[in-house]
Formats: sequence, C-alpha cells, structure tokens
Amino acid sequence: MTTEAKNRELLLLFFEPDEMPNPAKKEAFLKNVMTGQITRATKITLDRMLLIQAKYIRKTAWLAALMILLAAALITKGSPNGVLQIAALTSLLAFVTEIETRRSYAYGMAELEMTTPFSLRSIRYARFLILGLLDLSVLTGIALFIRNYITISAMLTLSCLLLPFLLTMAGALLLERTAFGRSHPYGSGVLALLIAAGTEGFLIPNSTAAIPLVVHGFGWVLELAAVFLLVTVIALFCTNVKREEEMTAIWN
Amino acid sequence: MELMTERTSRHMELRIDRVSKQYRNKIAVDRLSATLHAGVTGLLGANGAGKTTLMRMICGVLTPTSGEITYNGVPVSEERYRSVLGYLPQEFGCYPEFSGRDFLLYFAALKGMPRNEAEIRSEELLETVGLADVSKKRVRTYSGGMKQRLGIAQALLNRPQMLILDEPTSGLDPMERVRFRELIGELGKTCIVLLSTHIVSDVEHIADHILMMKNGQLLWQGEWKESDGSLEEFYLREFRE
Repeated sequence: MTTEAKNRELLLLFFEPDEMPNPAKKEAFLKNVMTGQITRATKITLDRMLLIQAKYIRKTAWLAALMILLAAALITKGSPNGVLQIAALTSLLAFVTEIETRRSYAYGMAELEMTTPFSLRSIRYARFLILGLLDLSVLTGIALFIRNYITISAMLTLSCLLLPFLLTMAGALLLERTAFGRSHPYGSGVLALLIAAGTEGFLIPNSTAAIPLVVHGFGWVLELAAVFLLVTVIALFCTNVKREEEMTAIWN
Repeated sequence: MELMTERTSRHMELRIDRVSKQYRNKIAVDRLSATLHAGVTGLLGANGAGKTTLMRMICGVLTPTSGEITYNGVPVSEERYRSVLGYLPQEFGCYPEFSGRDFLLYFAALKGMPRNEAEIRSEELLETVGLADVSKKRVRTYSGGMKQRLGIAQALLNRPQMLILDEPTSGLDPMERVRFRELIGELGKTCIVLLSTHIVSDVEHIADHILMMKNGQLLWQGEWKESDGSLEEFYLREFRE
C-alpha cells in the first residue's frame, strides 16, 4: 500500500463519523457516532474541571502538603502560640501549591492548555482551589480547635492563616513573570521562607502587645486591620492570576 | 450563531478583521485582515515576521491589541470557538510522568471528551501517527519527530474544524516531512488548515491559499498556481525588497 493510500485510509477513520464502531462499546457512544454528533459540544462544568485537575495533581504535591499539615499538628500541640506558628507554615503550603499550579509553564504545557475550552487561568484557579484551599481548610480546622490557648477571635485566626498564604502566592505569581523567576522556578521557595520567618518574627512578639487590646474591648481595631489587609492581599493575588498573558509575551 | 456539529466544509469561515498586536513599542502584527475557508492556507514569512503572534491570537493564547477574530461569527474568546480548534505550537513540552497515551487522554479530558470516546480516539490517533508501539513510554524518551507526531495527534483529538499548525515540520526528518505534507493535504479537504513556515517547499504543493507576512503586515495573499511560476522565487524577491 502506498503512503498516500495509507494516509487516506487512516483519515477516513478520523472523519467518517457514520462508520459503525466496535459493537462492544457503550450504547451512548454508538448513538453519538452514528448520528455524527461530535461530543465536544458537551459543556464542561466546574465540578468536572476540578475533578480533572485533582486527578493530575502530583502525588509529591499531596505528600508535601500532608507533611506540612502534620508539622502543624505537632507544633501546635500544647503551644500557647499555636495559631501563630501555623500562620508561618501556611506560606510554605502556598509555595507547594504555587509550584504545582505553575507546572504548565515549567513543562511547556501552558500554550496547549490555553487553547482548550478552559482558559489557563481557570485551570490555575482550579488547582489553587483543590490543593490550596483544601489544605488551608484543614489548617484552619486545627487552628480553630486550639485557638482558645490565646484570646483572639475566629476572624483574627483566619486572617493570621490567610495573610501569609495569599501574600506568598501573590508574590510568587509576581516573581514567576520576572526573568529571575523564569530561570529559578524554585525562587518562590526563598520568598516563602522569608514570609514564614517574617510571620514568625512579627506575629509572635506582637501578639503579647495585641492581647491587652483584645482584653480591653478594642479587638475590633485588630479585626478591621485584618479585614483590610485580607482584601488587599486577595486583590493582589487575583490581579496576578489575571495577568497570565504577560507570561505568553515572553514567547515572542 | 451556532457552530456546526456536522462536517460540511463549505460553511467554514475564519475571519481575521484588522487585527493588531503591540508589545510596548514593537508592533508584532499590524492591522492584518484575511478570510480563510476550508483548505490548506500556507502562512509564509521570515523569522520574526509575526506568524507565531498571529497564530497565537487565532488560538486565543494572545489577546489582540485591536481587531477581531471570529469563526462562523463566533469570537475567539468563546468556549464554542475553542471547542472546534486544533493547535500545534512551534514548541511544546509535557509533564514528565506522562506517557504518549496519558498526554492524549489529558487533552481529551480538557477538551471535554467523555472518557470512553477519548480512549478510542487516542488509540486511533496513536496508530495513525505511528506511536501505538510506544504509547506507554514516557514522552520525555521520545525523539523530536515522535514528539511532533504526538502534538499532531493532540491537535486532531476533537475532530477540529480549524487546524492551526505553527512550523509543524520543524524537527522532522525528510521522510517524515513528506508524509506530514501529504497528511496535511488530506486534512485540508475537511477543515481549515493554517500552516506557518519559512520553508516555501512545505506549502508550495499543498496550499490552496498563500499568506505572506513581513514585519507584521500582510505582504501578499492569494492562490498560487503552477502557471504563476516558482513560489520560492516570488517569495525571495518580495522579501529582498
């Protein structure tokens, strides 16, 4: 058989939706093929996208996150500053999440993934949601369980956990668009360590100073400040995810 | 406007309307307009002419600074547009743990194909591009040509109505190049194929329509017939000026 004839025969297999498929296959598929309907019209729902992405998150990423969670559980055992120590760990968790979400760029898959019905941005958000929020909610659970060791509200506890996490994520996203970030994919690890150290160094000494505020009924000042900081950091994080196209500009 | 679910090539129209792309002080694509129909369209231009930028805009990877790209009236930003798109970038990578089969199944999932159909389609395509024997091996062990063939299979997964191929023959050996040209020629009978290259012989005998780009602008477009002489000579003459 000549190459041309072989190609033609193979192409017929692609583009002949009316051809009878293997009868052992499912009926729905048979119906689709016989009516010539192309199943790509199926709308991909958010939950399905999350499932697809969850399936492709590396085992090492889950393992690293699990180790951080274990460390959090061990550190906080009986510690009066447990919540604040967990806060420092969340930046490391953010680093693991960021490394996983940037795989598309690291392995040159971004351009292909961008042309699927999902946008790359939505793929990244899905990975953040699965890995980041799942781990963070476990940490929040641990923190809420032990928070009675110090007198801070649930809102402040949540802020302590979210701020270092989102700040690391936003910083890492910013960093990955720079020449340094592109050539040093693990550079955001340094950033995470700095934020972890900063959190530890800032929150723990200042918590002693903040407790009188809470005791004397001025806890709302701290809460207001925490809400303001949270909104700012969330906005910074979202802006950085939206600016995906700047990554593609480097290809030109 | 609804996109077609049946493959009737006469209604396929990709419209590029005064599209520009500017990066700070550099204009990569400058007010480019063209209308593509079913068949092979060759996009010729030297390196840096703006071919890749144009293709990335057609695929929705880059957003045009101005202008509009539509397929049968559906803008590039819509999910429906991307659901009929097949794209092979100039260079692409793969997650290290993926085998050839995993790679196709991943993209089939992202393209919204049901698992059973994805598996059948992946097997068909792996056979077609001659990778069935190595489908369970990791992609990182593939040669350049094998990887390129896998990329082609990926682009064909969703039975695209628009197939955008950026320098598809780079990295292929001479035999594979010839085979690939024949394959593209056949694909052009059923969908819009836009193929960019800076090698005239890649498109000379298979393209129904030629677009020539220089400095981000469309230098020439039209059908090239054998009676018009050598396309290569014309191309070189135009680009020397």
